[in-house]
Formats: sequence, structure tokens, C-alpha cells
Amino acid sequence: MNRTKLFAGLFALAMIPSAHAGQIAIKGSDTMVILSQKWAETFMKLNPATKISITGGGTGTGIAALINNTTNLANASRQVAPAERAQIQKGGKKLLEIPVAMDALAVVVNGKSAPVKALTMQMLMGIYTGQINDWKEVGGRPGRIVRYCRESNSGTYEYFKEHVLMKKDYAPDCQGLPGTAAVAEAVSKDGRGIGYGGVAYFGKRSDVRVVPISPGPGKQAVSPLQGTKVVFPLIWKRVYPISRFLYMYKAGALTPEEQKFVNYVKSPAGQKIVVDTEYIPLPGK
Amino acid sequence: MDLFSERFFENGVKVCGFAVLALLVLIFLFVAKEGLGAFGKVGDIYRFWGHWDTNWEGKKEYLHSWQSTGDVPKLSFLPLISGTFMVAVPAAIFAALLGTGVAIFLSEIAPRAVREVMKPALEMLASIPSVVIGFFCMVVLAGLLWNSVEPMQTHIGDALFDGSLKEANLSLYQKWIYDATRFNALVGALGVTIVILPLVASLSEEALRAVPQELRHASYALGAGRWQTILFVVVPAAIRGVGRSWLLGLGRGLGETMIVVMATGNAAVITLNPFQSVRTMTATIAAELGAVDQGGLVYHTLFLVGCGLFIITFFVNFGAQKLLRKGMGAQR
Repeated sequence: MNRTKLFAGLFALAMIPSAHAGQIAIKGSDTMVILSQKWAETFMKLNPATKISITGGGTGTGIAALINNTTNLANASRQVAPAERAQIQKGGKKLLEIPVAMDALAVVVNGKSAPVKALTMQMLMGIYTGQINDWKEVGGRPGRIVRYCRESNSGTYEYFKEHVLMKKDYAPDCQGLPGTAAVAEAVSKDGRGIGYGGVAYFGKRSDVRVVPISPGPGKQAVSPLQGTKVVFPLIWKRVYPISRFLYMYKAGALTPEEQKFVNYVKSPAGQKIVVDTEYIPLPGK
Repeated sequence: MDLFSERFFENGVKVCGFAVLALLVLIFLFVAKEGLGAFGKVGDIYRFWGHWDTNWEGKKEYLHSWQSTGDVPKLSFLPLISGTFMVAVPAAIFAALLGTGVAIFLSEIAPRAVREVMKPALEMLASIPSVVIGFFCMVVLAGLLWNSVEPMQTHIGDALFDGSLKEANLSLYQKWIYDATRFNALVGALGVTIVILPLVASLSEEALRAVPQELRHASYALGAGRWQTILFVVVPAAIRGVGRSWLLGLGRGLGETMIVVMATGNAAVITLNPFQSVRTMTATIAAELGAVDQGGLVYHTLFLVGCGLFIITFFVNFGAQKLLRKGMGAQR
């Protein structure tokens, strides 16, 4: 009876993840969660000894977990901020930044009512900072603009704020939704809605329309998609104005297991999974 | 039982009782300690009220906004407190009306066979996880409400556009509908009502059943009808217990998290329009605490928000307790 209890206790202890050899815990970006899971699945099939666990929670959550040492790797859809970098260096560890894929941050409107045909970066900034409140001000049918965005733990939210809103505050009535899938759902049901997120969540949906964005006045509007497929050179050459890298971060040096996983991710096989999941592979692959 | 066993059980039970008290105090102390870290200097309290900003036309205006990320975090508590009450108060009112109705039905009207079915059904409503109810609100309730509101909104928009309606002439209701969004405080309040309802109903029913039969008999003896008795004798006699159940329902509604995170839209707007999206204190803590760096300003501020919520709920529940104590002395 006592021996059974001892073994049961040890068995339970062995189930605790992340601190183990052969176990990799990855937390972070909601944008990358599906891609990361596909990588992990195929990698685990090829290397049954390694167990990888992927959780979402947003880029902010992933980086916070890296700072607090509750995860091995962090997925991020934005770069680490200087303040966060300082926090990690304070722990004595060097931050390792690994670009693993690229993404086009698509802007979507409702597929049925399609209020606009294209937007400029300036208009997009005006819409999300609250300067522009009606679709008629940007060339559409009159109607109040309903802004959907992500919560503040999201790398997508931060990236958009820094590169599209130029660090200005979002309008107070932007509705914060928990994930890009929720943004897609909300915009598909709201004729006056506008939302943003990784293009992979919107490409195959017919109830939302991805809006071509023009990088500046007089320049032509560019859509990351042609039909339902993403056009890679547009993102590699930054012709589509809201193109970004997706990263994996580690505090300190990679363990041999983690190095194997990263090598797999950056290999042609790993990058093919990127293409299949409708993200953009690293340039030159 | 021998002396040792008796002492053992007596002390064991005492420890349980004090442990509960200690737990309450320790939780509050932890939250308060982390929350106080948000204050550096004495003047810092104003950062939780609002900030000055220049708007698009270059005018300076005083804003109450919550934008916790970015170089300069804006951490006004006002939209969060407003949002919390915008969801909890309508929910408490709906639950009070519905719940008291259910309680009167169960205690005064329903035959025993019906009671035997309805009481367990009520308990089962209480056992649905709030995240499931939140999901239901987000997917079903929001859509149903929007199907009624959106055509009205489009109609008002069209009328404003072609000039048949002037913006200055809109009634309050029309203005509310025009500003409406699909995820709003009302949807959140309806979800919270579902969660509060079993609590209000069962506590009110207990209060009504505790009214002695003599009062009812006396009322009938004086010639009153059934509804006269219920409305003018039984309910007033039980009003302390019933009122207490309403306050406890409000207290529960103030702390509801999952439903509001999914169904209210999480926009930090100060408004009295139930059709607009709001952001509650609970949703803010739930959505942001995972992503802040421990020890930073926003981390401490979120604990301060939790502290504030703790204090508000404490006063609501304290009021409910005082109501009960008065009631027990005042009756008979």
C-alpha cells in the first residue's frame, strides 16, 4: 500500500512539465499558436523522445513568462521592447532572438457590406485612433465605424500600435477581443466593423474581406492576397506596408533539444509547414 | 469518546474556523500590499483619475482613459468602475425582479409536485460554469439582440444621412441605438443575470418561507384575498431577507469575470448607454495580468484595481449583513 502511494506520487511528479530534459514549453503569441502546434506535432513524430507543449495567451504573456522563467521558449509576433529586454538581462541571461517566419497583418471589413475598397496607412491610423469615425470620411457608405482590436497582451495589438498608429493611443471604444479568430467572427457579423490580425486567419473566409492598403498618398493600394493565397514577394520586399517577422525568443543559450527544434523550424520542411498554414516563410527559402 | 478525541475534534474545528478568517485577511493584505506599490509619490493618486491630452484640433482636454501599454500608460480607474456598475446594476435589477417572482411562485403558489421539479432546475442553473454562459452570451444572445437593434440603427443612420432627421433632434433612446455595438453592457448584464438568478431566488424563497403561517392566516381571516396577502403581508414581512438577497446578488455580479470578458467588448468607455461596449475591473485584471512584467507600474495598478473591487464588494456584502441583523431583531 505504501509502495503504491510512493510510485503514484513519483508518477504525478513526473507529469509536471517544462523543467525536464526532453520537454520544451512554448508560450506566447496567439497569432503563432496554430503554426507552432503544427511544427510541434510533426517534430514530435520525428523525435518521439521530446515532448513540446504549446500555449497561447498573447505575445505579452509569453515574454512575461520568459522573464519569470516559467517557459523555455516564447513565441512573439512583435519584437521584444527595450524595457522587457532589460528585465531579461537583469536575470543575467542574454536574450536570443530567432526569426522563424513572416506574417502580413491584414485589415478586414465585413464581406457582405464591404464599406471600402482600399485604405491608406494614414486613414487606417485615423480610424483606429478615433480621428475618423464614419465610413463616409474614407470613401464608403455613411455609417459609424465599429473598431475591433485585440487585448493589450497581444503582440499584434502592440505591433499595430507602434507601426500603424505611430505609438498613438487606440480610440477608447475599440473593442478588445481575445484572439484573431474572435476578431474574424466579430467583423463577419458586423456590417460596419473593421478589424486586423494575421492574414492566415482571414485568407480562406468568405465572410470577411481583406482590404488593400496603400503605403502613402498617391501610391497604389496593395493586398497581401491574390485570390485566397498570400503573395510572398509582397511581404519579403515590404511592398505590403504592414509586414512583420514572427519570432521565437529564449533567455540564455538553447539546449540541444531546443536547438534541434529551431533547426527543424528553419529547415525547408519546417518552412513548408509555414506555407501550408498560410503564413509567409523566411525570405530566401 | 475519550478526552483526547473530544479535545482533538474541538480544536480541529476551531482551527478550521480561524483558518477561514485568516485566509480572508491574508488575501486582502497580499492584494493591498501589491496594490500600494503603484504609489510612488503622494501626487501619484491623480494618475488613476485622468490625464491631460491634446486632441486632433490642438485643444487640450482632460481624459479618463485606460491604455495600459505604451510608453506612457494611461491608468484611469473611472472607466473601469463605470463599466463594472454598468454591467452589475442592471443584472442585479433583472435578477431581483425575476428572482423574487420565482421565489414568490415557489413559496406561495406552486403545488408541491411543481416545486420538486423547479427547485432542482434552479440549482442546476447555478451549477452551469460561467464560462459556458459567457460563451452562450457571446454567440447567441449578442446575435439575437443585435438582430433587433441593427435595423433600427441603420434606419436612424439613413435618416440622418438624407436629412429627414437632425442630429440635435434625436431622442435619448435613438441616440443610444445609434451608438450601439454588438457586444455591449446589456448582453453582459443578461449573462450575469443568469448567474445571479439562482442565488437571489433561493435566498428570497427562504426568507418568504420563514414568514410565520400565522401572519397569512390572520390576513385571510381579515378577509384579504390571496394576492393581497402575498403582496401586502408576506413580502413586506420578508423584505429584509429579500432585500439582502438582492444585495448579495449585486455583490456576486460585481465580481463576475468570464462572462464580461467574452460578451461586453472590453472598451474602456464611460457611458450610461447599455448598448455600448464597456470594460469592467474584473475583465481588465483577467485580460492583462498574464502579460505585465512583475514589479512594474501596471502590475501594481492591476492589484490596486483588485483591491478596489474587493472594497466595493465588501461594502455591498456588509450592507447585506446589516440588513439581516436588523431584520431578526425587528420581526415579532
